[in-house]
Amino acid sequence: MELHAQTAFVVIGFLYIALPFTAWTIVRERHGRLRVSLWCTGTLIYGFSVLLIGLRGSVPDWASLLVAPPLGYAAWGLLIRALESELGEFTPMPWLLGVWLLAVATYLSLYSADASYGARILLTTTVHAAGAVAVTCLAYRLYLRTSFRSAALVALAYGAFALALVGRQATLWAIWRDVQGLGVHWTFVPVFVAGLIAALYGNLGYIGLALETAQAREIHNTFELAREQERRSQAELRVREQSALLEERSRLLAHREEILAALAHEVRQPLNNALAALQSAEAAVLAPGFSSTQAAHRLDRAAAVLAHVAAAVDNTLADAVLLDGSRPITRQEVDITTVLELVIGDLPSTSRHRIHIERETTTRTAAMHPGLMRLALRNLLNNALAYSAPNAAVTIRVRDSDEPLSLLIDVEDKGRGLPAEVLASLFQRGASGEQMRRSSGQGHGLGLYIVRRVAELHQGTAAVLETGPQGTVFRLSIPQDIGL
Amino acid sequence: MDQLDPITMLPKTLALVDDDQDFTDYLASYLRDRGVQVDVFADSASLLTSPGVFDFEFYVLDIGLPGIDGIELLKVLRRRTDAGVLVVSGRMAPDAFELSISAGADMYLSKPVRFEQVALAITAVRRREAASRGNSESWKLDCRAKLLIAPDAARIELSETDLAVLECFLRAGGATVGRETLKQTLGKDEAGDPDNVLHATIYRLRRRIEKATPLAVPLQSLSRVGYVFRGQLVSA
Repeated sequence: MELHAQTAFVVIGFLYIALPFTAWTIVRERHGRLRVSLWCTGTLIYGFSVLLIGLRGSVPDWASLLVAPPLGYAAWGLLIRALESELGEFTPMPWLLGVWLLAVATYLSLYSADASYGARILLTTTVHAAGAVAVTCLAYRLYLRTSFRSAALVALAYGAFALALVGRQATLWAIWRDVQGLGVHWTFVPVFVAGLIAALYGNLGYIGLALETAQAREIHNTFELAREQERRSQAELRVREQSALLEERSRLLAHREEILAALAHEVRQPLNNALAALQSAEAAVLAPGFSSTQAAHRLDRAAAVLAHVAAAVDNTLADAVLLDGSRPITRQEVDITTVLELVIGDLPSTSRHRIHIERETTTRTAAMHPGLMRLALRNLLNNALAYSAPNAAVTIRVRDSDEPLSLLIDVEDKGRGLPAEVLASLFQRGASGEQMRRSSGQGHGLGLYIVRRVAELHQGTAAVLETGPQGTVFRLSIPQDIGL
Repeated sequence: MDQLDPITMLPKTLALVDDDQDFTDYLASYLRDRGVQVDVFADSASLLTSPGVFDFEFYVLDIGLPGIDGIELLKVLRRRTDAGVLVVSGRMAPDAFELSISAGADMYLSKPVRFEQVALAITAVRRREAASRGNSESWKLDCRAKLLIAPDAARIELSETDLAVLECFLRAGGATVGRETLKQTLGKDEAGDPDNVLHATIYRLRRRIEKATPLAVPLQSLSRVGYVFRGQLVSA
């Protein structure tokens, strides 16, 4: 098959014109307008140049012989610029312009000197080869930098073109004097094929390049956005945590204020009373008609007041320190009777005779926290003693329970019973204190709250079993199927 | 030794370690009035450098001591003596009780305490001690009849589970039996948390034995580790 050079040129020229329009349409919005225009214009001009050469004979000679080659040289400059802007580089314009002018000047001087056809072909081929090599290098560097396949495609396409051109140029060096026409030499074929490839795949590659760059930018933006959102939600989380901490802090401070106020009230006044009782006992002892019973009575009163003060302080401190429930309690296997006898020892000596222990079980050993149980039982017994008649009996009953497996301790008094309106909030902190307060200065403020907390810490329960005009029974249930 | 003896069994010699002089003065004189020879030490170093440091029959310690911490003193004492130790402390630290018990104290009392309460605690510890040490006589396990026979000849009927558990103790020969071993013995057909089932089983067994005999039951829990039968258990 014969390859008519001029036909080939026309074909390539059309490709070089059609493709940039495609590229322009597809990528101009997504890629920098300037860059895309550089590339498309460059390709377009190249196409025109090739077309004009191919149409020699159909178009005026000056067009194909004087205009086309310089256009072709200029096209490379634009392509080089387009790729440089992808890399962010910048060969100064004067430099490019200078090279172009040099090439054009050389060509025109050859032309006006009526040099042989082959000389002009040699020059043109040289310039085109240089341009193709430059573009290939730039495309390859772009590929190395971004790993975009499209850049590799551009590099390959123009690389093949460069190779073909360099090959043709090398061959022409030897035979340029004899060259008469464009297509005469066999080196034209590879150049033609490579030029076709460059036209097609170079431009496709450029489109791909633009698209890949746009995609990369989008991914980057999405990533940045996600990171920003992450940062914001972290900040919000931290703010929430801190305000929760602040709330907790404020709550603890408020609680502390309550405790200090309670201590001030429950401790200072009774201590004063105890001091008064001791002073009066001292007076009784020093009095001329010293009566030991009278002195003993006053000393007992002082001791009782001090015992109550100690109990109030213990309750307050327990509330502040022991009962927050953040750690599980340790239990010990203890003799039940020993614990009960210890608690009775906390009560005023004049009241102890009122306490009776009734054991409705043969169980002697149970697991509990003896210190906490002492606190709870002391509160229950003090209440029972205070809210019943001065010599009325208070009974502690010890029983078994099987479902659930637990130890039951009931405290029964023969008082007037609890009014219905206090029952609901009986075990709450500070509940119904004022109403139930007797002249002895005792309140229901903390006592029953602590009883409930101790029961809960044992994973058991505290409740009013029954209440009425005959009296009241409080029941503590301490589970026994839990380890120490 | 007669377990039912209600007479308070105060020790002959007692070491009282506390830096609260008011407290020690009053307590020492109270105990001396009841026939106890009390030696008072104001800090751990004084006790540890005294000649008969490990020879006391009983120790009463405050854990908030200057110098060497009370808990550390307790650990040192426990290496060389099994005598009763009562911790009497004014500290309100939430973990004071746990620390004291795990360091080897027999009982823990918070101040304020009256002296009668201290005496009560001392005798309670001594009674428990005596009961476990006085178990020179054997408990007999009759596997076929599913009976446990106490040293005072009291007979306790056993369920299948009770028998299995006691067989573990029989095999252990006085050594501690771990929780896992016992849980495996109980098997998985019980509904509920296996730990709770184990504790419940031991509690019920002890309860049944306490119902049958006034003797102290040698079955003891060791926190987080397991259980031990501190007495002679033989096959009938």
